[in-house]
Order: sequence, then C-alpha cells, then structure tokens
Amino acid sequence: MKLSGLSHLLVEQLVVVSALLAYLTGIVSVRPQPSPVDDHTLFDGLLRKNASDKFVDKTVIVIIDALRVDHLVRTSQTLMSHMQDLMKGSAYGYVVRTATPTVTLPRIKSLVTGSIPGFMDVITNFGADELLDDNLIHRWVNAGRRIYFFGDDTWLKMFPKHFAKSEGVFSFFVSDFTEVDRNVTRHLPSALSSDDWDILILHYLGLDHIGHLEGPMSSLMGPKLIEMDRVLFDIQKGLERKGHKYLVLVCGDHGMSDAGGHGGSSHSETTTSALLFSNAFKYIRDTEGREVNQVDLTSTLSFLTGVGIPEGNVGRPLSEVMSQFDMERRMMLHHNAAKQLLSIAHGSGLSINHDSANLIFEEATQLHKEVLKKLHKDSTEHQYKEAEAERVCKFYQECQKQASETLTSKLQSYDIPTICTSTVAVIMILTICVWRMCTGAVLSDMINGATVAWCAGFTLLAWLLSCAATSNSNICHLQRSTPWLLTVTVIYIMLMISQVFQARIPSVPQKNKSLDMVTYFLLIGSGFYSLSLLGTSLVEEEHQTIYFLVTSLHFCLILKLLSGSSGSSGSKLHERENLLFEETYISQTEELPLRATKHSDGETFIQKLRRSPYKIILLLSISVTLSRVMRSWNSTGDKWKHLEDIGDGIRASGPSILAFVVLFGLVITIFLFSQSCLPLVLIVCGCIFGRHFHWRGESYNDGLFEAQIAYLMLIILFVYGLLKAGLVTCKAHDSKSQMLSDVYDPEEDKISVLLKYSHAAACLLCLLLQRADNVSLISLVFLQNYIMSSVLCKLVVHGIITKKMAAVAVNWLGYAHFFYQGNSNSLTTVDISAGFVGVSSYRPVIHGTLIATQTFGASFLTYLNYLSHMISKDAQKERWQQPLYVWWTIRLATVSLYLVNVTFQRHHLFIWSVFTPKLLYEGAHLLVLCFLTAFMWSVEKICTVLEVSYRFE
Amino acid sequence: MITPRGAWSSVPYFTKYISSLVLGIGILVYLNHSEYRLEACLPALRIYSLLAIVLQVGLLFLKKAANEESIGISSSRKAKNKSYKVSDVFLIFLLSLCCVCGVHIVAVLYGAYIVENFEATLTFSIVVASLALVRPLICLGPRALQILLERLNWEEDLDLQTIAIFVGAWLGALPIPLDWDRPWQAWPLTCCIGAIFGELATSGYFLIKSFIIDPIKWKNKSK
Repeated sequence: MKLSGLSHLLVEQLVVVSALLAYLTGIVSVRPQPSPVDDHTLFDGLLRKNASDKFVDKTVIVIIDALRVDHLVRTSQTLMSHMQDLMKGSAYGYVVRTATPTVTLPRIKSLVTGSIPGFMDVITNFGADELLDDNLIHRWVNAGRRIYFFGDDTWLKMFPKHFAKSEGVFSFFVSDFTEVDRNVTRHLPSALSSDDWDILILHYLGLDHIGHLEGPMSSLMGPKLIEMDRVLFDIQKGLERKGHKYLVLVCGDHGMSDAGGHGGSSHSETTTSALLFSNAFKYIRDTEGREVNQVDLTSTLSFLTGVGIPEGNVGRPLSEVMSQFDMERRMMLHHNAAKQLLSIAHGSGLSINHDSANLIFEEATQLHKEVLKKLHKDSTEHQYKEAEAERVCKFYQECQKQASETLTSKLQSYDIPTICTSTVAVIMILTICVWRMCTGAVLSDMINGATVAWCAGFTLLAWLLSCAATSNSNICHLQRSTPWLLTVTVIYIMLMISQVFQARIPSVPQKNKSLDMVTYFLLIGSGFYSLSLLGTSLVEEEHQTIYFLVTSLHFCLILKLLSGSSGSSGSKLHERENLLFEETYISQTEELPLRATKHSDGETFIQKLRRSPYKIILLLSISVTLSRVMRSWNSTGDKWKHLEDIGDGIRASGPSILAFVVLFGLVITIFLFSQSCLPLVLIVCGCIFGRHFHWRGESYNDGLFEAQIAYLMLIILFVYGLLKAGLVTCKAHDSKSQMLSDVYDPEEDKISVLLKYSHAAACLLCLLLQRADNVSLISLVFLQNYIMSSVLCKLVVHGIITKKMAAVAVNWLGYAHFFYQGNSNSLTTVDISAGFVGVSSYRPVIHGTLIATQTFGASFLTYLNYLSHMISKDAQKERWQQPLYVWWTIRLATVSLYLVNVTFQRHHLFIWSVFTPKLLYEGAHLLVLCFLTAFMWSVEKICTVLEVSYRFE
Repeated sequence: MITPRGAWSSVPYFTKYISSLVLGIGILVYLNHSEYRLEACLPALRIYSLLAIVLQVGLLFLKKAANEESIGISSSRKAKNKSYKVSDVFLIFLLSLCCVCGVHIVAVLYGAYIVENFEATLTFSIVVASLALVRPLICLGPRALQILLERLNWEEDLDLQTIAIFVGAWLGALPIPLDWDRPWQAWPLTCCIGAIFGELATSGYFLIKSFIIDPIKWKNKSK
C-alpha cells in the first residue's frame, strides 16, 4: 500500500469522521422501549370494566401557535376576557413548559406522543413524515373516534389518513395573518352544529405570523387575541347548547421570544399557556398558574378521553384534573400512569433514585389492593376510604413524579467510554497533524500488510481489555456501529505512531524567523476564535467574532503595507521579491520602491503614498467595504437577529427593486466568470433570473423548468471543462517547442483549466439555490473571494505573509462567508426551501445534498477559489496542497477542543440548545473540508488519467 | 541657575502623565456614577477628549515658554516661528478633522451603524482620534501621522501610547456580544472605556518609568 499526498490526508479525514460518528453514537438519545412491569395481576375482574370509559363525549383541542404565557395565564391586562373569566373558577390554567427546539413540528409530536424527542431525533426526522410512534391520534382512531382537523397542514403530513374531515392551511405565507385563521374558523359553525365528530382539533397560525413579522408588542396582537377569545367563546356556547359532556383544551405549541420568533431556548419561548375546561368538571381548585410539562397534557388527555396512555409517554397526569374522577377510578388511573412510566424507565435502563420509585409503586399497589377489598366488602365508612384512596393516589403520584422527572431529565444518557475514547483518538490525530505541520517531517509512504495486522491485533487486545472493564458500553456490542468505527480510528493512530518513529525529519535550514505583526495577529486570532467557542453566548454570536477578526485582518494588512512600504522594510520587501519570482509578478507599481528607497529622505507624503503598493491597499479597502455591506445583509445569531437588515429591506421594497438587485448580482457573476465559456454562464444566469421572476406569468410552476435547464447547463459546463483540459496537452505540445515542454509540465496546466471550469460550475450551482434576495449577496461573496485570493497570493509572493498564514486568512474568510448568508449555529436558520429547487418529487438524498450545498457552499467556494487561483499561478503540487493541510489542522484543533468541551459540559444547562447544535455544525464544516480534499484529489487523479491516456496515444 | 531650568523642563513631563491619569480616572468615575446612561455619558466623553487636547496644547505652550525663557530666543526668530505656526495650526486642525472622519469610517466598517447611533459612533471616533492621533499631531506637527507610520516601534512614548489606545479600543469591542445585558455593554462605551484604559495604562507606565529611571539620568545631567 502506498499513501502519499492527498490520499493520506483523505484517509486521515475519513478516520476523523468515523471517530466523530462514534462520538455521536455515544450521545444519541435512547428511544425507550417499554418493558412491562409486574403489577401482581390483582385487578383482574375488579376494575377493568371502567378503565376505558370516557369521561367526556366531545373533545375540542385548540392550539394557538406561539401563545405566550402573558397572553393568557399570567397577565395583568384583560387580553382574552372570556377565557380569563373562566380561569377564575371554572377552568384549569397552567403554565406549560416545553422542551427545545421550540419549533411547531417537534412540539406537536411531543403533545400527541407524550415523549420528548431527543435532539438527534429532531435531526434524523427533520421533515414532516408520517408519525409512526404510538400516539393519541392513533389511539383515538383505533377506539373508533372520529376526528376533525382544521389548521396547520403539518398535522396532515404527520397523520395523512387519520382524520375523518380535515383542511390544512399553509404556514409558509407568513405575511398573511387574517385569511389563515378565517380559513380555520369558517369550518366551526358546521362542525359545532353537526354530531359526526368526537374530537375536533383546531390549529391557529395567525398569532405566530404576527409575532414573526411584528413581534409580541405589535398593535395587531390585541385584536388577534380578542378574535381567538371570541372563537373559544363560540365553541363553548356551541357545546353548551348541545348538552354533551365536553372538554376544551386551549394551548400553545410553544411560546414566542421577546423579539417575536421562536426556535431557541429562552424562557419566553419555552413557556406557553394552557387552559382546560369542561362541563363535566364539578369543582375547580385554583391551580394558580402551576408550571407543568407539555407532555403532562398527553396523559391527562388520554385519561379524560378514555384511551390508554401512548407507550412512549414520559409525562404524568395533572393531579388537579385527575381529582375529577371518582375514587376508585382515580386510583386505577394513577396506577396505570405510574405503571406506564416505570415500564418505560425500565425499558431505557434507568434506575430511578436507586429503585425507590419501584418500592413506592409496590407499596402503593399493596395498599390499593387492600382499599379495593375493603371497598367491595362493605360500603360503609365512606369518609375513611376516601382518605385511604387519597393516600394511595399520593403514593402513586410520588412514584410518577420520580419516574417522570428522571425520564425527562435523563432521557439522554451518555456512553462515557465511547465519548472519551473517540475524544482521545481525535486529539491524538491532532497531535500527529500538528507535529507533521511544525517539523515538516516526511512520513514514509509505504505501509505493509504486516504492520496493519500487528496494529489490528493490538486493537483487538485493547478492545478485550476495555470490554472487561466496562461491559455495558456501546463499544462492546459488536452489532452496533460504534466498535467498528473506533477500530478504524485506533488502527490508523497506531499506524501513524509507528510511522512517527521511522520518520525522517528534513533538516530545515534555520531561518531567522522573526514573526511579524500579521503572523502574530493571525495566530492569536485563530486561538482566540477557537477558545471563544467555549462560551455559550459567544457561540450564539460567533458571526460577530469572525466579522470582527476579518475586518481587523484587513486593517492589519493595510497597516502592514503602509508601514512596510516606507523606510527600510521596503527595500527588504523588494529583495525578497527579486529572489523569489523574477518573471511575472513585478507589476509597474511595485517596481518603484527599489528606485525610491535609495533616496528616501526628502520625500513628501504623497510621493510615499504613490510608491507604496497602493493597488493592493485599494483592493483591500474594497474588500473590507464589501465585508461591511455583506455583514448587514442578513442579521443572524440570537441577540440581534430581529434587527432589520438589507435583505429584509430588499424583500419589503417590492418586486422591481428585487429584480434590480438580482440583476446586479448576476452581472457581477457574469463579469467574474466571463473567462469560462461565456454562453453557458449567460444561459445559467438567465435561468437563475427566470427562476425568481416568471415572465410567463405562471406562478404554480415555480421556476422548476428554469432550474432544471440550469442544472443541465452546469453539467455541460463541467464536461466542457473536462474536454478543454484534455485538449490543453495537445495544444501545449503542439505549439511549444520540445525544449520548453521540458520545463513546462502540461499536467499542471490541465489542473488549472479543469479547476477553473469546475469552480465556475460550483459557483453557479450555489447561486442557483439561493433565495432571490441572497443572489446578489453570493455574487458579492464571489467578488470578495476573487479580490482576496489575488491579494493574498500577491502578498505571499512579496513575502509579506507566509503561505501558511495566507491559508489561515482564507480560512477566516470562509467562516465569515458562511455567516454572511444568514446561517448561524442554530438549526433554525437552515433554509429548507433550497432542497426543492428544480426537484418536483420527494427524493430525500437530493434534497439533503441541495440543502447542504446551499448552506455550506459559500465557505466551500472560498477555499476552492483560493486553491484554483494558487494553482493557476503556480501548479507545484507541494505548494498548492499546503493550504489543505493548514485548514485541516485548524479545523481539527477546533473540533477536538470542542469535543473536550462537550464531554466536560454535558450537564450544562445549554448543552442541547447551544453546544450540541454547534458540535453538529463543526462536524459539517469538517465534512466540507473532507469534500474539498476529495474534490481536489479526484481532480488530480483525473488529470493524471488524462495525461496517461494522452501519452499512450 | 541650572536647577530651575532642569526643574522647568521636567515639570511638564510629570504633569502631563499625572493630569492625564487624573482626567482618565475622573471620566471613568463619572461614567460609573452616571450608571452608564448614554445621554449623560456621551457629552462627558466628548468633553473629556476636548480637555485632553486642551491639556496637550497647554503643556506644549508651557514647555515652549519654559524653553524660551531659559534659552532666550531673539524676538525676530519668535516672529518667524509664529508665522510658520499659523499655517501649521490650520493644517493640524484639518488633519484632526480628517482623523475623526477616518476613525468614524473605520468604526462603521467594523460594524457600527451608519444612520442610527450616529452620535454614539461620532463620540467614539472623537475620543479615539483625539487621544491617539490629535495629540501626536500637536506634538510632532502636521507630519505626525507619517512619522508614526514610519517608525511604529514600541520604544517611542508617543507611538506606544497611540498603539495602546487603539488596542484598548479594539479589545473594548470584545464584551459587546456577551449576553450579560449590563448597561455598560452599550455600543460606544466599552470601546471608549477600552481606549481610556489604554491611555491610563501607558500614562501609569511612563510615570513609573520616569520615577525609576529618569531621576538617575536627571541627577547625572545636573552634575
């Protein structure tokens, strides 16, 4: 086996990815499988008969999207007067605490299944597929209830064939806040008058839309709440008129942040109001706005409607509501609830308070049995039995409380051995990487089978030892993927360690390494940037850090150029320049210093300014201005996300301005890529424009045709690049004389041609997937890429910064470009709509690829642009591969720091809302680098193949 | 006859740093006292920067006067100096305005708002420009910026002070994104305070340096 150059880097990256995957398997939530608890089968024949009796006939569930706590339950004003009157003695009001992420889909899931989807679950089923887990809707349908549903169409995606009658409204048109609710309410009179339903579910979106657009302080808020109040009042009156036993549950699926959005984990987002009222309730004890969990509503609902609790439920029934049942029934239901919770706890392998919950359950069951026996023997002494029953319920509630609390807090279990092993593995790879980078050691390329076998043997031994120590870890289950992923990693590390001892360290001539300002700045900045990720608020506002660093980098370079161009360093600069590159790089402006420095005493300021490399300074100033424009294009993060940005302004100012902005962006793009087959680029740009603005007036077509044409054109562009690269050799050999072709390696020129075309294709693909108002932003990103890669290459040539430092600077730019697009470290900013560009049917892989391309495209293209610029100037293999190593080392350092951080802070309050999403994003950035390396590797290989085939001819 | 001359020349040296220390601590105490309300802080910061400039000019004149008194320049040369100075003063004034504009532009490029918070950004640029750039302009004349750019080393007092103030203002931006929600995290305050800290640090450093090192030199000289 021979590993050299990029192949080695690629293998290393794959190894790190497998270590990261192993890490993730260590924190993935366990979906609890209930294992039944023995309840001594004492109730046979005693009480089964009324366990499934329903308490109410008609159930109405009204979900008001993004209902805040201070809209209903805890408010000093009268916003919803009827409901607030009800709360004073005929309804139960609760403050409901929801889990994160506070997005509608997982919250509805949580409400109907009673489980809290773990963070990883949210990712694995990002889209709204049909819900297959046991849930309330299934149970209602199985029990023969007829369900009517009107409202948010997310429900219809989850339950496509469960509702007897339904109509969905779309939640995408956020600017609509009256029609969307009227479409729900208009079904109400007919539904209330008919008798064909048992469950009626309404999901109102208007409030959420107002929040998204204008925030919770909007003047539209009051009327909307009054409208909701009116609807609820009508429902109550309608139900009263019919005289059935009814139950109405009013609740929000999540809250609304003070800025108006949701999705995060602030207090106002994770709390919402809930109100329960019924004509079957006899006496109401005031709950005083008690705080309960969202999942508690599930089991309460399932008892009130007389269906069993869904299997995965982790909530406990609300004790106030349960007190409405008669004594016998209440004990039974509490028993069932406790049993269900314990079984799920057993199933997920948690021991609750050292099994005290189990003990309480057994005691309570015994007591329960005795009370039942007494009750059946004689029905005197009613008071005494009431008290006994109360005690039994208290016991059961205590048991439920312990089980539920443990389940909700510790549903996430960590596999410590897996986590630690993979963290250590990544750190070791990082060490090897840094060592390689610093010493410039050349690892021997040859790896023979015997060494691999030895390493595998040692890995087996280590595995046996570790399994002897920790037998219940994931590592020891060979059916799971964890041990195999880790095996790959460990074998690689062992191989590398054996290589390290054999490596020959080239004796680098000790240069006088005087680190200058820019180098210090870049190094300290990178270190600071990595360290800043340890704080939660700095992770949320990471874009601020990187914008700050990028702007500072620009000023640092400008300052360096200004001060370096005067005085003694100017001549030094020129000496180096002469030494390094004689032929092409001395443009007219930089030729001046040599002559000027010799008599630099009696000069005016203007003269000095002129002889400084003002062209580079001008380019840098343009670039820094571009940065400023782009950073205010999409405000992102957490604290200042709500602020108005340029993108909002463009969207709000009407279609003609938008069209103008898009055109502006496309013109820039056409100018940038005019060198690479202009007709194709023009067609693609036309398609991009046509996708956003339909001149044929068909709105439902949605630019599908244009997008597909654009895809086709991009493929043609890539193939054209391949052909062109294939032709280059012939031309080079034909035109140049034999003598020249010795120096002039045709293969390297091929790489640059191929890269030019594939880079153009990738850029246009990325542009195609953007929202209309982001098209110009991405073109500006391309422009900045172009400016900065040429500036950095020039600076490297002049020896002002080293190659490695230029790579670090490009890395920062890549990060910044990621955030300019409006991305953040929270999952809420991923733009799902990009996945459906030009795709009419549902193909998850394609959607995923397109979404990933849209999200990470900007930073990928930054790297690619720098590489292709470098190669076009100087295609020496060792030189252009160096940036890849630098980026990889920095990324690896950040990731390993982050793994350590997550491992140590796994009990931190924000672990699920901040740290884990960031870890996922870090992993994704790592994958971007992997993809880049694979891309460069394949480009290199293609060129070799082309070369070989040519030589055979 | 020698002693008063030495005393005269060394007096501005001490007074400059002591007075800038006093001024800096004063403004910090005032900011703290006003509980970082912007409407109180911004005028105070502007007044502070004006005072710093006035102090510099005053000290310059004091020094000049002391020098002239001790050396005894002839009246004709004095007149020449003055005529030279009028254009200079005008140039310095213009350059100072340019510096304020320049710092303002840099602040905007760093992400400050263009229209909103204009007053805050302007105050920041006045503070930083007057502390870091206008004072060297007054000391070194219209060529100061060029001189600063050219030599840019740590040994010179003026350069060190300029660098420290810029670095202080730069570091002052770091606490802004933190979610502590304190009043002093508002936009220009952290950066201004950072710049003032830079000023205080260098003043303190020079003061200590002059007490430790200079007395020996001075004694040597006077002997």
